[in-house]
Amino acid sequence: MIRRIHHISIVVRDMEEAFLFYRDALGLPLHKIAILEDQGVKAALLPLGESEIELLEPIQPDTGIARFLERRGEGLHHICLETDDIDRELDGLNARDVQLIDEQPRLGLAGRVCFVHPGAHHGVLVELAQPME
Amino acid sequence: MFNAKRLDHVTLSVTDMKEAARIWQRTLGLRPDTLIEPHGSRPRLGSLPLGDAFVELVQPLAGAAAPDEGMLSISIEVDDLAAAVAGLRRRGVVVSDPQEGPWPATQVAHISPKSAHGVPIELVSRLAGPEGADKPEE
Repeated sequence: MIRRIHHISIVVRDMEEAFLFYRDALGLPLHKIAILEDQGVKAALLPLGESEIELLEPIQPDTGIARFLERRGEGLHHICLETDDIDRELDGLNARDVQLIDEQPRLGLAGRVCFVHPGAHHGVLVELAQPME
Repeated sequence: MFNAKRLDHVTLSVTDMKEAARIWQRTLGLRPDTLIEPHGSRPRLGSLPLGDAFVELVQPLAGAAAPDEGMLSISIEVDDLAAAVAGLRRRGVVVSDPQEGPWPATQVAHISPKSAHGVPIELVSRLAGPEGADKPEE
């Protein structure tokens, strides 16, 4: 079952520059910052109510996030929804022939995650996440 | 002091509201709770509640310049909209004057995407509780 919006993801050119707005001007606390080698990004999570803002800065060329930045510039990238059972969610999506990017959950900053193809939700890239406590 | 309380909603641009609501229900079981039909210059609006926030679907008016389908903007609830706008302006952020929002009992101001790294951000203050404010105008 989908419980909440886990985070909204925003691609930025320079994390330190983005902090000047999201952390300093909007006043959001910085919860976590990490390098995700497999995706070639630096990621920061800033809590906002029950949800978080995720800032993504590409640190390697020729990755999905780097290409997004080149093609479309900075901006909204995806929405992550929290589920209490990602395996069951994936089974349901498969049963309904929903187009997926990840057929199996993998480890991400938000826990066990998988991406649903944007074609499944009128152009919106959706990540599902089951946090690991 | 700026007080960003919570993510209020994320706005998705759609070409067919009812079809989009049907898709989210079929794929992930999200149920729409309100649907506001267009009136005046206002587009068709729908909401899919999720925790303490919601996904907002916006279908542009017929004939209006329509943005591409996809993620359009995010909305952040603040306690004191006027104070938030003044505080952001002191830091050089480009933000509009507060005005009546698209949902009942809301006031909103818009931060320029140029100030927010490409993201259109709406600041919203609710005049009543979220439960009351989320009900559609009939």
